[in-house]
Order: sequence, then structure tokens, then C-alpha cells
Amino acid sequence: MKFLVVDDSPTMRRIVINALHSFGYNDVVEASDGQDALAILYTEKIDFVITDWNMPNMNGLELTKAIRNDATFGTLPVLMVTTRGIKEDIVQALQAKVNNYIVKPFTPAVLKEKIQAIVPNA
Amino acid sequence: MSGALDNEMKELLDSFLIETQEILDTLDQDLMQLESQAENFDLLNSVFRSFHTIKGTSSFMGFEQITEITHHAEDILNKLRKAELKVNAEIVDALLEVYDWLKMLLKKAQAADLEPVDYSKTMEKLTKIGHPDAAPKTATSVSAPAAAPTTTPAAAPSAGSPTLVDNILNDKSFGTQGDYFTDDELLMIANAFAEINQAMQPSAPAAANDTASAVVTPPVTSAPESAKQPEPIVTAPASVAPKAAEPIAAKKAPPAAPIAKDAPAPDDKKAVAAATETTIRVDVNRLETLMDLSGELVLGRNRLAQVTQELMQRYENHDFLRELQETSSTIDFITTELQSAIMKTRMVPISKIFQKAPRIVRDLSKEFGKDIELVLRGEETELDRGIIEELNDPLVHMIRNSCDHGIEHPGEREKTGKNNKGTLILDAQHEGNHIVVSIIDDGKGIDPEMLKRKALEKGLITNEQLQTMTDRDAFSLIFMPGFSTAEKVTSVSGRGVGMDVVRTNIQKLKGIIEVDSKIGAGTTFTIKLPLTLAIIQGLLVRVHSEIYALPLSAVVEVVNTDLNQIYSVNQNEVIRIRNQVFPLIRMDKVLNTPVADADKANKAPADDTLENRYVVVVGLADKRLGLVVDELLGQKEIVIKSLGEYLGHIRGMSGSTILGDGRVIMILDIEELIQAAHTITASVWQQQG
Repeated sequence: MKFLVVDDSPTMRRIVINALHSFGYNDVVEASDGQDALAILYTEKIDFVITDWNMPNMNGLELTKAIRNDATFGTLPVLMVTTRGIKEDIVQALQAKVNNYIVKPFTPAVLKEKIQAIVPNA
Repeated sequence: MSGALDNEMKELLDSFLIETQEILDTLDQDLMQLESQAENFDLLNSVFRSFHTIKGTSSFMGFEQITEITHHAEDILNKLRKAELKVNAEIVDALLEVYDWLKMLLKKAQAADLEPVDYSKTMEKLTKIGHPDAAPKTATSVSAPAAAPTTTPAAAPSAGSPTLVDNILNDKSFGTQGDYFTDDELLMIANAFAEINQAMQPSAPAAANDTASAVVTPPVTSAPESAKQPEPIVTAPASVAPKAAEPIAAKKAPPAAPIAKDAPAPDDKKAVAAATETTIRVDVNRLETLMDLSGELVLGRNRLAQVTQELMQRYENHDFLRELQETSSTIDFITTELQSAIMKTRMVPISKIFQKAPRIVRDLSKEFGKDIELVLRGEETELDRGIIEELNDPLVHMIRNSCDHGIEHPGEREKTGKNNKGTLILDAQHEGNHIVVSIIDDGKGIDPEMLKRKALEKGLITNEQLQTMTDRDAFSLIFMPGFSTAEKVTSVSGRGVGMDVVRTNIQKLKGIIEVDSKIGAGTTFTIKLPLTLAIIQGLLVRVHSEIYALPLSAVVEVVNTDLNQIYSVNQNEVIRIRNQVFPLIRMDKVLNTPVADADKANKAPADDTLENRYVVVVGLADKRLGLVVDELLGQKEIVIKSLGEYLGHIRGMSGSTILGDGRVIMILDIEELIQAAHTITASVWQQQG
């Protein structure tokens, strides 16, 4: 399984990637915003996207919409990282068809749980 | 194992500290701009993102206070984004307060100081802004309607019937109760996600395998071609047609909507991806090592050039030597390039300091009730990071000074026929191997007579000195320790320590500071600094038989001595150049150098005359001094070598360097020479406090 971690904060990317490594997912690429992520999606085969919501250039919601609208990777699992308390955001995430969301701060266990809920045999 | 974890944690912490610092560096500027550009949505988003990111990362790092305060700031920004609030000074003030707290909390985090701070006042402000009516959170949730449409996630939706997501979207009361979702709502969300997942299970490669969700199959279009179709192909039944542009995930088939894959050209995207990787962080120590090595290389290069030159002279026109010369000049060229490239890696734009100015000026204008426009020029000018760090405090202090003492109150300005709004200009530019930073205000200027009076009152100068003092000398009085011109002491300046500290710092950087002021028209401070401290342009001078190097940055001018311009004050020599008087020291006497044979033989000037000699006027911070030398040998790039421990510190020498011919020469320490001159001459102006 190859993961794409999208976040404009290098620290956040590190946090997620460290967690993924600890689950044994060592094949991880990273992108700092939605545009960057799309560029990678066009050139590399990615199996799972974990994206932040708020990013410059193209945010996670726009990225999810772009993914869903793409012919080749339209069904790619997308896990959205959000912050608590912004309700309409979650509704928007649903609308954009993210596979699930995870609220910051999360523990590695919760991340793993969310990933496995989307891809059970991962 | 735990060691690895600790390492990971430390790495994360470092990453967090650096990233947050970087965010804070731009945040205060963004906040200031926000006040004047309330309608700039991009800016608002950028500010929001800054707080948002800090909140997110700090929550992982366990810095609860950072998370809490940024959460409140983010709340307000979110309301601004949704136009529920409008940007005003009160909001910007509160956000700036948050910024200040964050700066402090970050510092504490850096120092592993976990003692909580008391930011309750700021929090109150934020809460007041965010919830002006202070409406208590009502938990009168009528969750019944929300629960109703919940179907089991297993019941896969057909494209025609509303999905669980649709249910949520159509439910007007959804998410309107309180700050958080109700349990029922959370259940609905979970079910909706399950539905989306089910519909998109990647396990089924073909479109129509899953009976549950394969109700709709696009009739013909195969995905890759469809991407090129100009018209949208609506694959869904009419009932969902309005939503066609946003393919419903329930449709198992590859989305046929014409959102072209190449909307932004893939090339562009690659460029974007590449652009994010053009910077890397490097440990400063590694850069220092590179710098040292390049310095050694410069020395080797100089030696090589010299040897080649000598060989060429000895064995003229030897083919082999021509090759050597070519190689030598190539190495010469490359070394110069390499050295400047390495130097550039240490260069930081001065905007690093300049960007602090808007905040300072804003706060001070408010505090003093003044109207000050800040103009920044040449922010992109780069200089060595070591210098930037040292320059920060003096510059900040001078900005404060200009706002406090320089620029008048609007009323006062109006009386003198000036624009109500004062202007403060920060300007930076390159000038050869130097950078010149100016702080220019159009305020009331400095009155030299007042300065003199004050200095006399405080016993800093004698009546006698006062008589001979030029305006320029008088301006320099402000740099004297214990001298303060402020009528009253404010929190900002006027504590009488400021300008003295400014001078000390500039001195440390081997820089020069000059003051120019006109009563009623304003004051200009000009700071001239060397670009780097490791490799300098030196002026080689001969004093009798010895050669010395002077840092060119300290050289103000060189004059052929004119006996008529040399005076004696209190038995000490001074030279007058264009109405300025400088103390003079004869280097041969100070250094006690042996008289050169050549000088003895022929036109040797008698020791006490100054004929055929030169006076090099050198300066450091605000002080000037004339050095009498025998000959000027030209300008050379010199690498400063310390004198080593066994020699320790030699008065008057700041280091040594090696010339191309292998000779070791001393670099004169301008600071100590000036100090020496002032203890010797003990007049003209006596600045040692």
C-alpha cells in the first residue's frame, strides 16, 4: 500500500508518516498542498490519501473533489484530517465524498482504526 | 527502541519549533496588513491557516496552552471568513496579543519550560469578540428529526434515491445544535461515511460487479475517452441530473464527468511539486565549515597566483608555464565564484528585521497618539545572518527612537505646516562590499545646541570642548553612555541606555554609524556594515618597513596630508578635513616600526614631518580617526586569521592574514586604535564614559 500524505505543515506530515511507519506502511510520499498532491497522483500509483483540510493553493476539500472527478483514481480512499468543532466542514467533507475524517489531535491507534475501516485488509 | 522513539520525538519537536517560528515570522506582518486590507480574503485565509496549523501541530506536541489560545484565535478568524465578524482594530489588537503570547509560549517550549502562562485577559478579549452576546450554549437539542432518516449503512443507496449524505444535507436542523454534533448526528455521519466507503470499495475492479450499488452503469462511455468529451455526459438518471457535475460516489462506474484531467497542465503541477523542494534546512555549523574552507582556498589561490607570476617572470614564454597560468586563472575565477556562492548560503534578506517594523510602528503610533507611515525600501537586500542577528536590536531601538523622539504629534506637525502624518523610512542597499541601512524620519530633528547644553549639564563635556564642537560632533553625543535627550522617560525610549547600546552593537559588527539632522526637517541615521565578517576587503598600507591591512569597510577616506590642516589641540595632533576635525595618530609612533631602508636612503621624510604621507581616515560606529601612513599598497581580499592562543590578544591588532607571497601581515584593529587615540589625545571629544 502506497500512502500519499498531504499537509502544508511539515510537522503534521511527520506526525502522520511516523505513525504510518509504525504500522509497517513504509511506502509513503508527501505533498504540501492539493496541487502538489494531484501532480503526484498523476505520476505515481497511490493507494491511499491522507489529507489535511486547510492548505494554500488547493485545500483538502478541493483535492478530494478533484480526485473524485478523475477517471483513473476517482475511487481512491481519502481520509481527511480535520480539527474539532467546525461542523459544517464535516458536512462538506461528506458532500465531497471523503471516506472518513479524523480529528486532530489523534493517536496512532485511531489513525490505524480509520485506515482499516476504509481498507479492511490493509 | 525507546531511544529511537526519543529521537523521533526530538525530531518532531525541532520540526514543530522551526515551523511555528517560521509561521510566526510572517504572521505578525499578515496581521498588520489585515487591518488595512480587511477585504483581502486570501490574506484572511493565510492568517487563518497560520493559527490553524499551529493549533493542529501543537495539539500533537502536547502544548496545551498554545493549542487553546490558537483555537480561540482561529474561532474569530473563522467568523471573519464567514463574514460574521468584520475586521477592526480591536480584533487585530487581540490577535496581535495572541501572537505575542505564542511567541512567548514558543520560547518557553524551546527552553522546555512547561510553567503555564496567564493569558486570561487575552482570552477574555477573544471570547468577547467571538461571542459578543455571550449566549450560553443551549443544549436544547431536539434530535428527533435528525434520527429519523437514518438507514442502515448496509442498505446501499441507489442513484435515484437520496443517499445518507443527501439526508444530512437536506436536514436543515443538522448540526445547528450547540458547538458540537449530537450523538445522533455523529451516528448519521458515521453511517454516511460507511455508505461512501461501501460504494467505493476498491476491491471491485469492474464497474458492475456489486449488485447492491451497481444500479447505474454508464451506458457506453469508457472513462479515458470521456475525459476528452467536450460535453458533460450525464450518466445518472434525470432525478440527479442537476448534480451531474459532481458525480455521486454511489455510482460505481468511473466518473464520466468532463472535469478534464489536464485542467491545469501536468507540467505546471510538476513545477509546483518541484518548487516545494527547492529549499532544505542546513545546520549553520556546516555552513561555517564551508566558509572556513573557502577562506583557506582563497589563501591558497592567492599563493598560487603569486608563484605563477614569479615563475612567468623567471622563465618567460615557456609553453608549459602558459598552461600553468591558464590553470591558475581558472582556479582564481572558480575560487571567487565558489566563495561568493558559499557566502550567499549564509545570506538572509534584511526583511527578516524590517518585517518587525510595521508592528513596532503601529503599536507606538497608538501609544503616543501619533500618525506614522512606515516605508520599507530594499527589503530584499541580503547580508550575512550573523550580522542580521546583531543588527536587530540596534535597528529596533532606533525605530522606537524615531517614533518616540523624532516624529511629532499630529497637532504639533500641523502647527509647523507639515503633513499630519509623519513618515519613517527604513532603507537598505548594497554599496560595493557594504550594506547601508538608513533610518530616516521627517520629524522635528535634533538640535545640536540642545545636545551640547545637555552634555555640559551632565558633565559629559567641558565648556572648552563645547566651543570647538561642530554640529556633527554634537550629534554624536547621543551615543554617549548616560546621555538621554528625552524630556521625559517613556516606556519606549529615553532611558539613556539606548543609543549607547546601538553604538556598541554597530561597533561589534565593524560598522559605521552616522547621524544627520536638520531642525524641523528630520533625522537620518546611516549604518554602514561589511557584508560578511570572515573575508574582507582590506586596504594594505605601509608604515615604514611593515605592511598592515586595514578593513576597507572602516576606511572613510584617504587624503594626502596638507600641513596647513594639522593643528595641535592640547598637545595632540588633529587634522581638519572639510570643517571636520579628527584626532590624528602617527602609526609609526604607535607601532614603533623600524624605519625602512628605502626611506632612510632617499626621500625619507623626517619623522616629524607629514610630507609625502597619507592620512587614512577610519571610522567605527560614530567615531573617526586619522591614521598617518607612508604608502598605500592597494586593495586586497583578505581572510582574517586569528592570532592563535599563544599570541593571545595583541593591542591594536584584530588578526592576521597571509599575502599571496606568503608574508604574514597584521590587520589593524580600528576599534582599539580609536580607543587608544582617545586616551592619548584626551580631547576633541572624550567619549569614554
